[in-house]
Amino acid sequence: MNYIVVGASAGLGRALADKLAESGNNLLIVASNEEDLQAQSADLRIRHSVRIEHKAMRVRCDENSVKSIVEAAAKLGEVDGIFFPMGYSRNDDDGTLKSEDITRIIDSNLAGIVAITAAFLPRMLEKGEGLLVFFGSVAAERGRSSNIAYAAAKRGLQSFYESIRHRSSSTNIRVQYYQLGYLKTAQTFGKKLPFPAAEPEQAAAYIISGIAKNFGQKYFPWFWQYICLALRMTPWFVFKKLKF
Amino acid sequence: MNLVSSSSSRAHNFVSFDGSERAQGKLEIPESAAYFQKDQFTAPQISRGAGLSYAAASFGKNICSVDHARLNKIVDFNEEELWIEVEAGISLGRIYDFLIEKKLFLATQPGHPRISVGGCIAADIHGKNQFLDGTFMNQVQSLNLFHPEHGILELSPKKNEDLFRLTCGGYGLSGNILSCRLKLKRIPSSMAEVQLKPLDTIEQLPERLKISAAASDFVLSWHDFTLKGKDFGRGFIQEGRFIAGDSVLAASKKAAEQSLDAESRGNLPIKVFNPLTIKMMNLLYGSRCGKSGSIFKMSLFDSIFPIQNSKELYFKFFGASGFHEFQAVLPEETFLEYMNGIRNYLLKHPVSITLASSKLFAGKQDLLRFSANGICFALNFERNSESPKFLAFLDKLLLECRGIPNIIKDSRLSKEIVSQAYPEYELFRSALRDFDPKRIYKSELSERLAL
Ligand SMILES: Cc1cc2nc3c(=O)[nH]c(=O)nc-3n(C[C@H](O)[C@H](O)[C@H](O)COP(=O)(O)OP(=O)(O)OC[C@H]3O[C@@H](n4cnc5c(N)ncnc54)[C@H](O)[C@@H]3O)c2cc1C
Repeated sequence: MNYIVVGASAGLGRALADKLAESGNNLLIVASNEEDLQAQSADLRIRHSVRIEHKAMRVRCDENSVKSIVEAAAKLGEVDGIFFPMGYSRNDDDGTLKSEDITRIIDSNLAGIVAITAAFLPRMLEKGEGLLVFFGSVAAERGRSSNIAYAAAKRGLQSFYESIRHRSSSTNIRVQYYQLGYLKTAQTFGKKLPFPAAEPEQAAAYIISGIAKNFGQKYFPWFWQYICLALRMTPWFVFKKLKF
Repeated sequence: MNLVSSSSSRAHNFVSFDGSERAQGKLEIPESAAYFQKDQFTAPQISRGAGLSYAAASFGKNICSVDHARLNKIVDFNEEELWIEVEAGISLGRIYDFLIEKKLFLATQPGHPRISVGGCIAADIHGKNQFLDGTFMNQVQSLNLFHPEHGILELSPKKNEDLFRLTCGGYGLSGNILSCRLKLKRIPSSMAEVQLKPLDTIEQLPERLKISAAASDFVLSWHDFTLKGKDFGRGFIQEGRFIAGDSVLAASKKAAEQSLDAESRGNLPIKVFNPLTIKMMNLLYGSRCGKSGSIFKMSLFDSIFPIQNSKELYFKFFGASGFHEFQAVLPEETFLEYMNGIRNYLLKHPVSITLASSKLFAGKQDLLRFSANGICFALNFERNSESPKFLAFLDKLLLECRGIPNIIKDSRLSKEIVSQAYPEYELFRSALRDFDPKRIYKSELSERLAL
């Protein structure tokens, strides 16, 4: 199979790329740093003897970025699926960010993903086959006073996933959305977290075990579905007092 | 929650693997090699591998430890020319898993698969084949070193030779090793044959080690130091040989998936070791070798990384208070004097020795490299109120016997001992200052030894 992993060089993206290559899949890996991607491509090629293409770029919603991914993917041949384990957030995302920072957040978490999907969806619909895996965050479960633009973008992504799933429901295209809890990545490292963080490798193995299924949305780790349910049911007069 | 960024930095409480040194510093875990940019760093920092050094070599108070764990890729490999190029954060286990299927092997490896290549280079570690293949430096064809004021430098035995020698065995003090090219060795299979040969007295050791080394690929000895009188130090020599065979046994474990770390080592709520349990453990371990010896096949994995799985418990049994390792290379001429000194001390002041073991060493000693001609002898024992006295005795005896102590294994060695034992101590210091007048790279170890 040929897959694209967008946001492949760190955390969950790297773990996914590794596990996909280990199971014999060819990959196009996309991330921002050329040097990292070169090293990662070599590593995956050498260890797993599969075909690896890479594209170094900042994912954004414009024709040129989308075109460069499409061109890089063409080297692999027919694309069987796309994983989007990517995102961008900032600690100062409190509703007062400058336009360029907001654009970057919206591009990386929503608009860029929508644009890339749009480029590959027609062929998937034509074949009636494909896989699209999107990643949300429990941080977007309810709007809070931090991660404001980020959560808005992720909620947008959730709606996008649902629409694409609806649109392709008469085909064999699997459209999946993982609402991710804490993972042991650079972002959670050293922080006091109220709930345990999972290894990216664990998450990757779980996600790959589900690629043939048409389940829609899932939480990972699983216990977050109950935490998020409680969060959603919390009445406003209580929720507004929560500081997290 | 942010899923992608290039590094993170946090205050972190470090502890050395032997449980003795604790310090709060900063920990950075770069995701990308782009982290290492010229003219970016001025604050004290030090590279960190798996943090499995017994001494506090990859952290220190208010020092920023740069953890290479995520910079762990295989970047090039040539099966015909027998080399592999890796990022320095890669673990030996990950390399082992990749190579073993191809019947290839890194000739020199320490005893745990989580140890990183960067840590092996910086401490210039040795394996059980030091007499044959030298220290880890001998396996390094070239390496890339980053220093904020010099950028990225390529070092090899031919290019920037002095800096290469300073960096291999330089305890991370010359900069961050980013990647390296390592020599590979062909092996007949992933199996080894191990033969245990009884050794009745410690006096026989120097001669018997040499005989065994001549007929083996790797050799070590084990001794029971809880025995008294003429039995003191009785034990066995373990000869290891690569053999042809099927690989089923070796494939049963994934070397890269091992868990031992400095933080969890001291987690057991009780200390299992006491004089009685130590005596029993020695008796049990000694009984592995029958009166006429024994011979068995095992996976190469188990033979090079013996301190695995259940044996990881060995380190945990010391509990939170931890343990000491006193490892030294002694010239053959003074070896028996050293042994007698220890025997006499233990008669008067009993210390329960959990492990006494030797390896045969060959090679030149220079700078602060743990390498010399002679016998490398290691003692393990509990950290308690009596141990400082024993260690002070060992320090003195070692100097009298013209031995060198292993800096990476002993977290309390003093500048006085190291500077007397290592003739090129001053040369190491000045070479470091010539290269890096600001001395950006620091650790508890470098501060303690005034490097
Ligand atoms: C169970 C066990 C068995 C062992 N067996 C042996 C053995 O048989 N022979 C032997 O010689 N040793 C042995 N050791 C000791 C071990 O090999 C060394 O302490 C080694 O340096 C540990 O490497 P690490 O990856 O844990 O690095 P750390 O402990 O994190 O660091 C060790 C040193 O390397 C430096 N360093 C690490 N990475 C880099 C880098 N990328 N660039 C620059 N400097 C770097 C650090 O600054 C530090 O000075 C053993 C240790 C254990 C726990």
